[in-house]
Amino acid sequence: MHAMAEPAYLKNPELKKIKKLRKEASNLKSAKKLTFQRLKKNKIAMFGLTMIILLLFIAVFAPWIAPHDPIEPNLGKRFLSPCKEYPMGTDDLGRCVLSRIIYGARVSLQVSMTVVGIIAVIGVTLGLISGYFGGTLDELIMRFVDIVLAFPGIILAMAVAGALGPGLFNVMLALALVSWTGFARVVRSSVMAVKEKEFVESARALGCSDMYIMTRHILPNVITPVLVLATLDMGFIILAASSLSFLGLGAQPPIPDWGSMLNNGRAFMRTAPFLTIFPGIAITTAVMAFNFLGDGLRDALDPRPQRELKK
Amino acid sequence: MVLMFIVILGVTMLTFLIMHFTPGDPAEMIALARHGAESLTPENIERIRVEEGLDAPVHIQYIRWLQHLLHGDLGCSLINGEPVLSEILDRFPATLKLAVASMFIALIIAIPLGIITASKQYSLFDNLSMMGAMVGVSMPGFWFALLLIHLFALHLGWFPVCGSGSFEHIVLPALTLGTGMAAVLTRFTRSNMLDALRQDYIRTARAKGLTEKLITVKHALKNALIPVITVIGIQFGRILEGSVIVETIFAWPGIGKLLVDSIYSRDFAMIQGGVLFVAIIFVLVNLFVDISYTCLDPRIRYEESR
Repeated sequence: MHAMAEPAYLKNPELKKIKKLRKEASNLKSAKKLTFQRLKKNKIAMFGLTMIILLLFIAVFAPWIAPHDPIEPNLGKRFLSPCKEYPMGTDDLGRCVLSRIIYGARVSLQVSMTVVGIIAVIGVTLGLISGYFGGTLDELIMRFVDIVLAFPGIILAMAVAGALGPGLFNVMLALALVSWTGFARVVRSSVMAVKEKEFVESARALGCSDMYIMTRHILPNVITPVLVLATLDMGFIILAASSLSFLGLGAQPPIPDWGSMLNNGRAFMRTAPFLTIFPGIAITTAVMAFNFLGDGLRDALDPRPQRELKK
Repeated sequence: MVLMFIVILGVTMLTFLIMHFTPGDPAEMIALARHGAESLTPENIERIRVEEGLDAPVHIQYIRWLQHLLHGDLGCSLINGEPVLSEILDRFPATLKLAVASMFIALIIAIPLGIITASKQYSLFDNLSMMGAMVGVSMPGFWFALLLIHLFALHLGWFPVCGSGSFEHIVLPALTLGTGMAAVLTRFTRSNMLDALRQDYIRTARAKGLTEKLITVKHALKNALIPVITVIGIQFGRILEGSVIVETIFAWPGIGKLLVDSIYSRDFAMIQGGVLFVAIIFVLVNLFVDISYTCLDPRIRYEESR
């Protein structure tokens, strides 16, 4: 449908301002749109998002991007310094470091997406139940959270991974067992705030079941801090997983994983320092990207005016 | 109070369960560790199983462990036979030293940086510091440790690579842990200072004509510091986490390294004892933080006395 022809009086330049305001008014559609606009303005967050997309791209198209085979040993070319053929050098088995880092992105993203997915589901469910029903159930769940939190996280993850044996799957399990508490707590406090609102009361008066209220009414309203936490946790899990791999508990050789690459390179620090520098840069960059985006999301969803302090 | 005990109890139960469901036969591992591979006969293994009470069902084993605990006996290391408690107490001072040193470094960096960046918001210094803090938070601690070792120990030779004993030995490990914490604390201090500086009483102070310096230090800082102290307390507990990796890299003989080694060697008694110890410390630190929070914030005190 054609836009209506402008009324004649609006062609007056003095009234262009009114036109502009009308346009802006029609742009203010919803809170969601506002949030997106705020997010887009945040250059750092956008940079983080770009990096994450780049990371995803690298992970998905690794076989086409990587210059050499990441797993096949090439004993004739061990410990080559970075050069044209091997931009990041080769490791102790002659494998191209750059290729291993590219494939390592796959591992890191797989691990963090799986773990964050699991803990989000567990944490949100428990948080919903705990916040909505309250009472003894709430107490029980929160005590369980306290118990899990009373462990230094890494140590519990190590104990579980150590008990189950090395390997990526066990590491994911261990990290999931340790990290779900953040989601539970955040969701619980949001739920307790939303629970008192009128639309919940009216839903209950209409005879809606608890399950229905929890999923259709409360859940959509508590999802925003979950998104922020999920993004930030992606970075955190990449760090934690690489720590466990560094200790030998994660990806086993020959799987290329940034943490175990660092562990490997540790023995050759004098002769081949690049073996420890590049994987570390990869980890830091990936985690920073998620932190940038997560911080930006948090600011966009809950803007606090950080104006210049007026002197 | 009761809650604390339940939590600690829960922690030990969880550890016990995890250890119990480890694949692998503990009796076998004990035999291997104590007497070597030749002793791996079925009779020997069975004998050890009975001796160590490993033939009883899980809950009985757990109750027995609790009973021993109430007598102050944490059992003996399954590997070298030393009493668990004395091993832990031996190693604890080393971790404590590292923790204090790291905390010191973190505070020296974080608090001034946080205050300055908050009062000079959006300046170049602020942006650079925040970028640095972001890198610090995203960086894997063990990588930073390796970088430090590479630069200061291997290239410049200023500090030893690992081990303990003299002042030089503590610098690199403390720097590693300290800067990680400093990154977190700087951001937190800065945001709290920003909040404090936006308050109305600061406007009043400015209207009264007080100097900016006086306002920052006397009014804003005191109020901003209260949640910061809470976070410091919590972070002190997190040092235990960080020390696990740092102690392993630098061969620093503390509790963290003890736990890692005992997890590798499946030394159940040591793991149980170690985890219990760490959990108690965590809980105590949290308790201390709660208490100090009440003392430091006069508003809470007044509310409680009403």
